[in-house]
This record gives sequence, structure tokens and C-alpha cells, in this order.
Amino acid sequence: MALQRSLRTVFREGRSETVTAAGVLVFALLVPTTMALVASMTIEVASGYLDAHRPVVYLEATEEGERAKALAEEIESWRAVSRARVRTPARARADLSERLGEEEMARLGVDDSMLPYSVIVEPAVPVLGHLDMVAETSALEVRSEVDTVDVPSGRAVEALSFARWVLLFGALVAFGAVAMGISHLRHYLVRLAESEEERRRLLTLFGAPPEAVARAALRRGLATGAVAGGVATVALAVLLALWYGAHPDLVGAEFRGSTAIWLTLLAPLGVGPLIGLVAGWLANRTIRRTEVDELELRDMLG
Amino acid sequence: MPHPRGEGALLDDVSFQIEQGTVAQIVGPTGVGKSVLFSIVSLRRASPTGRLVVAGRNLDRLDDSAVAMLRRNVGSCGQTPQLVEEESVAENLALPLVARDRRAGVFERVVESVAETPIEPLLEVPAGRLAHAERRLVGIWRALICEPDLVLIDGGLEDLGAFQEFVVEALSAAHRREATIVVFGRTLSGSLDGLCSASWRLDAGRLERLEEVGPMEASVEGAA
Repeated sequence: MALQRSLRTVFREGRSETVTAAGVLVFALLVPTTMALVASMTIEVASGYLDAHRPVVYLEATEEGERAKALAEEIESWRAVSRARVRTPARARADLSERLGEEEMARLGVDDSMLPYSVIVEPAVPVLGHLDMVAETSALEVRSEVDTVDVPSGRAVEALSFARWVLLFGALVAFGAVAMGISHLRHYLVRLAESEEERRRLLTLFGAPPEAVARAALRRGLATGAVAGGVATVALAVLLALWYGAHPDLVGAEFRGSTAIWLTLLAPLGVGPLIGLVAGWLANRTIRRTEVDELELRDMLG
Repeated sequence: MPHPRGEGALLDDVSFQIEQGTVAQIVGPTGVGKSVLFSIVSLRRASPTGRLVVAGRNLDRLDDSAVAMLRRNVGSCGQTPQLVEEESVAENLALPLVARDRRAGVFERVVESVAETPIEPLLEVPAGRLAHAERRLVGIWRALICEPDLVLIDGGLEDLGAFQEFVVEALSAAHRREATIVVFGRTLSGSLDGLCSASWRLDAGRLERLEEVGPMEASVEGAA
């Protein structure tokens, strides 16, 4: 006979409640991990899009490298900017040549002297910081040393703005899902503890160590979290397989070698038990309340 | 401690000390605060004022773990013993052993301890189906099962009916191994004659020592 009823007994007696608590936790784990999976599959496309829409500040043709370097240092001090890179005329020519080809470059007669120094600006936070950075960089156009500022088009800004809201909303939904999972599991563990209140009080009265009594909620939370994590991992793997079957081009054949995808797939195995422990800890805080009766006596078994 | 109905103090500077191995009784009319005193001494409730020393340990200075260790030396049974209603008598009797981490062969030990006693036929009965006297019997046996140093029984022994003689025998056995036993009741229990060596009357919030009732000399001082 154990200090607390066995996990099997507890789960068997409250089967529907246990299944619901684990199901909610599976859902809570699937929401952020599915989002992370989609993000890890689209990260390359998104990075390419963002790279193509980095603001570039072109200096007047008369300006020298020192001026470009000073401007880059100034821009780099902005909060929204992680890096401002000076592009020399030679580098600009090489980039152009890469895009157009040497033959076309020769036909157009482009040489280094026709290309000014420029500063390429990178955001501190991809997507989320992009719009702030674009707005700040646009204001540079009034400066005497600046010839022109190349910022993303109106449609690109709209797309970035939309992407930013999608990301924020996604983060909110993911956070909400995890919070809901923890909250539901905590309620379940508290209900379980309440159903065993008599037993718990008696064990306390007969000298059971307080940490052993508190361990029950942690153990049950951990077990529920581990089961939910396992189910969520299997569900994610099935989802990924179905996606790959339906849209192999979207997932990409190289997904099997992607560390990000593997980490996302296996994350519920670690996060599930962690959420279970947090829920158990929160449940213990609710269970272990000190009550005072009408005689102002403190309940020592609470 | 003020009386809940505003009739002066329920417990007023109540202080008593019982030496180890003594059987004592605390008596008083209904509603005088015996059960409150029992709940404090049995470590169920704590007073925010006053000082409680049980088995030589000052409770104000003990953390939860130390209180738990202290509880292992105390066996108590209230007027209506709290039992886990849906569990069997055997499971209820096993709780003190489980709490004290003596889980190996726990049911065998319970069965062995109640062999040829009035509890034996009740072992498989769910606690919720016990009659009052059976419930008290199980509660007192559960208080004694781990052979604690201090045994506290609230509600006297009179309501045990046919089980009274058996319980007195069990208390005698505990007394022989130097356990301290305190019975809280409305009147002095005649069935404890020859065992009880100290008694107090609780009335109007005060404890009054009654004259020696047994053969043993008891020392009465202390705090509760």
C-alpha cells in the first residue's frame, strides 16, 4: 500500500477526467509545435524575402568610404538595427554582376566608378523589427551625403506588416494554449487532491512527511505531461508525414536532416512533463492553504 | 481563547503536564472546550496565542517536517473518528503504518494485529458502513496500531458499548509499554479504574486538578 493511490488506480477511477486533461494538454502542446514546424519549414523562404527587402542607403557618388563608414556606425547605434554593412563600389559591382552576368555588365558598360558607396541595413528582430527599421531608414534621404534610400515597396511593407501581426497573434495563441493546458491540468490535479482530502488529512495526522504528501500532485502532473507529450510527438510526426505526402515541395525533401524540425518534433517529450510539473506545483499551492476556523485556530492538517 | 458564543473564555491559561506512562482523564460538561483542547494537543489545530509543548517539543519552534515526526509519536481518536469512507477498515487501519513509511507487508500486519478481536470480522467492510460504536472501535485501534508514546481519545469510552471492555484491555496493553494515555470525556470513566492515575476537570475555561484517583503518583504541571 503506497502513501498515495497508484497512478493506475487514480487514472482508472477518473478515466474521462484524465483523458480530458491529457487531451487538452496534447492540444496545448500541438498548437505551438505545429506553428514552430511550419516556421521551420518556411524559414528559408522567409529569410530570402527579408534579405531582398533590406533597406539600402546609397551615398552621393562624390562621397568617400570614410563617410559611408561613419554613417554605418550611426545607423548601427539604432535600437531597431542589428547591423549596418558598408558596401564598396567593387562589392556592389560584384553583386550586380552576379545577378546580371558579366556579358550584360559589359554591354551596359558598368564599372566601379559608376557605383556609389552604400550601407545595407539589417533589423535587430527579423520581421517584427523590420517595419521600424524601414521607417527610420527612410528619414535618411534628407541628409546631404545621401543620394537615395531604397526601402521595400508599399506592398512589401504591407506583407511585412501582415507577417508581423501573424507572428504576434501566433505567439499569443501559442502562449494561450500552453497557459490553458497548465490551468486545466492544475484544476484536474486539485480535483483529484480534493477527492482524496480525507485520506491526505489522515496521512498528515499520522505523521506522513509534508513533502511526500505534496509529491502526489507533482508525480501525477509529471505522468500526465509525459503521456500528453508522447501523444503530441506521435501526432506531430503523423501530421508531418501527411504534409509531406500531400505537398512534398512545401515540406522539402531535406526535412529529415533538419535539426529544427527534429527538435520541434521531440520538444513535446520534454515540454509535456515540464508543463505537468508546473501544473503540479501550482496545484500544491492551491491545496496547501492554511485555514483558520471560528475559534481562530489554525488547521494544522490543511 | 474566547468562547464562540461570547460566554467568557473557552480556554483560559490552560496548562497541564502528564508524565510518561500515565493514564489520565480530562472531564467536563458538553461544550466546555474538551474537544478543542483535544484537537490542539493531538496536533490537528493550533492556537495563534499560547504555547503548546507536546512530548517535550515546543510546537512554535518546529517546522512542518519536525511536526510530522512528532505526530508519529501521537495516536489520536476523535469523538467521531475521521475515516476514509470508501475504503475498507483494513485500509483505514493501514494508514498510520503507511504514513510512518512502514509499508512492507502492511496488510499482513493489520490482519495480524486484529486477529481474534472484534475488528477482525470488520476488516473488509467499507468504513462508510460502520455503526457508530464500530467506527469508534476502529478509530481507537488505528490510534494504537503503531504503538505511539502518546494516545489521546476524545469522547470518553461509554459510547463503545460492547467493545468497551476490549478497548480498556488494549489501553492497558499500551499502558504496560509505558505509553501515556489521555481520555477526554464528560465524566470519569469507571472502566479506567485501576489504570487512571490523574484527572482534571475543565470548566469555565480553567483546568482544575481532581484528587488522585489511581494507585500511581502523577505529576501535573505544564502547558497546553
